Amino acid sequence: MFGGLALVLLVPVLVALGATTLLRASAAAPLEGAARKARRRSVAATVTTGLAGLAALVVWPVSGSVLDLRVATLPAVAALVVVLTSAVAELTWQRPSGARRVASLGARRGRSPAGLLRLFWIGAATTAGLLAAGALTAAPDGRSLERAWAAGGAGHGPYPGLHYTAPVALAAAVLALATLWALRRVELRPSLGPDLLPVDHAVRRASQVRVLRGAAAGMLLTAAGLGLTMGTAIVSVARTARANDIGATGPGYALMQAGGSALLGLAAALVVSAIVAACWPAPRIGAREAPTGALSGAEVP
Amino acid sequence: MTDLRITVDLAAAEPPYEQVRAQVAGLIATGQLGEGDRLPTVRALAADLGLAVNTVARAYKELEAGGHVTTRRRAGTVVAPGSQSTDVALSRTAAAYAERAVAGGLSDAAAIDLVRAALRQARS
Repeated sequence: MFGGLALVLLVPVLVALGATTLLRASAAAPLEGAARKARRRSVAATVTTGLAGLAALVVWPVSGSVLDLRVATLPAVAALVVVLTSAVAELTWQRPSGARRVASLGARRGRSPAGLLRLFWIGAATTAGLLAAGALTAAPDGRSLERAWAAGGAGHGPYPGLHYTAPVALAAAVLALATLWALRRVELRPSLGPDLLPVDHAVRRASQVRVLRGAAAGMLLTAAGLGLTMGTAIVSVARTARANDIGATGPGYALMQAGGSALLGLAAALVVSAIVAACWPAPRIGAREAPTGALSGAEVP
Repeated sequence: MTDLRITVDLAAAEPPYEQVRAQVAGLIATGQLGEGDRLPTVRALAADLGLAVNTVARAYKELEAGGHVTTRRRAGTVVAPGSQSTDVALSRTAAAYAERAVAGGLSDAAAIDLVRAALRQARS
């Protein structure tokens, strides 16, 4: 169910994002020489990472057995592919060459977009919280929720017990580490040169947005999947208990109903946040003040 | 801090770390880099210049040993207090000498050799 949700939401988002990127690039101010080359490379990197993420969304669920685990880890794995592809784009950027090299002593600009970074950490923290809650409250089989009352019990699955939380936690942890590593690669990518500082700042910020878009959306959708699964299971157990009249009454039962509904609400909010993150606008590369010139590290005349 | 630049010539006889050290020290001495101004991280400057991290680290280490900069974990590498040249007149003389050397077609090495010779003479 969650894989389908991710596909339904993310495929149009990725396609729209690719189209917007190309349209924005074609509408941007004209640039020449190295600045133009840098912008073209940035657009190509955005399109490539989008396609890589799309490919991961399609291939990962059908590339082996244990479909339920593949679906549970789908957002994190697709995001990981996006983040790693973005990092490769940074690592293969042109390096300084030639005997005479020039660098600016100014500080690196284009800090990570705070809002997007916040969404990423919110997604990570929510994922961690839900994984812990799921592991602690699941039935001993690690994949369902069971509750007993005076006159009987009720159960529902799937539920994120240890069977699901271990691989999801691993995927989320790898995604978090890969994101921090990729952001570091963006920061340490050689500058385009002192003559192209405005373009360099815009390209660097676009790279940060590219990494964080995928990472934040993946983390938020992972949390949304956990919330949706937990909320559905809790509400289902509560309804079954009420329908079978097995003595499910009182504040504990009401709390269960409210908790399940709250988790479903949280999942919906997380999905909306993931869409916001995936559509986060990158800065335009091609500001009017951007001069043209040689790449940093290239031969200085 | 305005747009200050460092140029490294790999074909020059002077090793790259010394070129970086000398230029940063010069910018501090002439007041173009002021107290508290932050230098790029070692890794960022090394990436921008296409040099090994150790090369820039050595330049920064020597600047720190010379009292020009201080490095702290959170603040990074910043220009140390009291590291600017107090002799403004001497800075101007040096700038004027450099201009005449360039106008006269002297190479950097030849111009510096002249200064070294003059310093030796003054100390003897």
